Amino acid sequence: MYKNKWAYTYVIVCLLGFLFPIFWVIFTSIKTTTQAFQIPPVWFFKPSVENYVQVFETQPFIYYFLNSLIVTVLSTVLSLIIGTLAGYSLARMKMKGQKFVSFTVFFTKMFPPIVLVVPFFALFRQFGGTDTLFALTLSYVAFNLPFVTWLMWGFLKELPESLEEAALIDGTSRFGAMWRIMLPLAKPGLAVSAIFAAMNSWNEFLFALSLTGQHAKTLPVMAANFVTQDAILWGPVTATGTMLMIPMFVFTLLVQKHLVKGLAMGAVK
Amino acid sequence: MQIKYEVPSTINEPKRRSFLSWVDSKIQIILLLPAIFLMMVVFLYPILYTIYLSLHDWTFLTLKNPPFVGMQNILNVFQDAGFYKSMLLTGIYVGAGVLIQFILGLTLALAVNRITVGHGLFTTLLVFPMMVTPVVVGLIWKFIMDYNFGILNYALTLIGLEKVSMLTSSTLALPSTIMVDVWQWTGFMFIIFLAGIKSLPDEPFEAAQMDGASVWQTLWNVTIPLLKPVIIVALVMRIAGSIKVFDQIFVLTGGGPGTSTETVSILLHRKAFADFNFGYASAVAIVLTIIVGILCWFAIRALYSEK
Repeated sequence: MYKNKWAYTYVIVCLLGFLFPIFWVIFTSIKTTTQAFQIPPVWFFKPSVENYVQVFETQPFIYYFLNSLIVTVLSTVLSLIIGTLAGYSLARMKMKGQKFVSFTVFFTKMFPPIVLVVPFFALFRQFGGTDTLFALTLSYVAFNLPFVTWLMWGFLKELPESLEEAALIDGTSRFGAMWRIMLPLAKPGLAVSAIFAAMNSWNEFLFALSLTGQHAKTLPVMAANFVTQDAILWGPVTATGTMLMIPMFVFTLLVQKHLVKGLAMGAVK
Repeated sequence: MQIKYEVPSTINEPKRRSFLSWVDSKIQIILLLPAIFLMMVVFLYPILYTIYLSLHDWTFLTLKNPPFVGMQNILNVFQDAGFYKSMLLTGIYVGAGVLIQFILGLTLALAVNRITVGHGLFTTLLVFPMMVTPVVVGLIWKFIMDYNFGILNYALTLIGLEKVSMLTSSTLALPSTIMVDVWQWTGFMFIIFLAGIKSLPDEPFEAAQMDGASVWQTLWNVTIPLLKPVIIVALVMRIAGSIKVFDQIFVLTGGGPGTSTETVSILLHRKAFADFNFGYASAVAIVLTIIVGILCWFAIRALYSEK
């Protein structure tokens, strides 16, 4: 159809624009250093793993990878548990000051992290605890918690209360009703919360940069470290960039069904 | 006259109040407690500490015993031309970036909604950029926009244009960083709009079609008004996200050349971690917090009035 042809063209053109940089960084990562800087660009070449070897040889990649992974998993799980409990409570609670609570959650969700970096840095210096995974996990929970609370609140509010009431009449405890009735229904909301919390933690740079030294460094900080005073080591940068992107893409593909559904029900409403 | 009905207490309360039933009766507060505790530790305390820091002349020289200076830091912020400039740059960055993302996101959502073949694939691929680590986004684009070996400049020469220094010229650096923000976050607008469009009822569109409305008329008079709540949510979320931005600009230009891309976040970071002027940085943080608070108040009002 005439109209749809335009729709296809527009989407495909945009898509090419959006995907090209990703393609280009992966493409460059398997070039040799000389090939990477050639203009006009080399399109046909024998792939090389030189850059990846350099990353693994010069940096404790596995160690930083594990740091990133531990902090991401811990902060995601923690903020999911605490945020869902709070979201459930807010969705079912009728109390004074609901507006104030909602403003507070919203405000903390919108809060620029840079504002907290200075006090976090100063506090952790004072009490010890800089350059630990604990400090990072705590600060990531701080930013994921309001988001998860907000999303689950909106999400659980949409689920009919009568379902739990029925369970309560059947003799389940409030907690039992929540665990067995509400949570299974809230799965798409939980999935979206988990996606965004994990994404935020995995990608976070500012706190990782300011609060870690050698010990608790994460992958984004490692990637940025290839930018030195004299030059940027583009080979290792593109290799690290590729390795940082791949887990997120796999993750996105796995959860993409929930992504649209969850956003439609949670964030939008 | 009021009549009081005495309800026998045995009906409302079980005779033996076990711990579990107490938990059950207070469950809604108890469920909130972990979150409240955590927010106190990671938000309230640091904010109070920031206020404390801002009242002192806290630099590396005075680390041990910072002198109390009262409101001096705050006053310095308001007299600092650099602060006003960074606010203006942040405003331009947020305004231009979010506007372009809005237009691209909405048109893409409308287009994808019409598509039947490859719908899911297009959707997934369009949100890929927002999954990329912002630092890596900065690095990718620094590579692509490089004057000498960047593919973008090569593309310009291919179509017969002159090379431009996108990140090192004081006029082009800000538009370039905005373009990067658009690249990363259009997918977010797109997916929220797509979700919103999909949840719209069919009837108004059928009615519009019956009345012989054109595509544009339908868009302006039916789709956009129906989408208004979704549009407000998307705008609020992106404006908040855009104000926060740090990583990409930090990697792309570091605020330069000069201070031509120094948004508030970059300014604050520089004051704290390059100049080690924690007192001043804290004062900037407080001003920024107040501004974000006011914006949130308006955003909440807009969100509530739509519900």
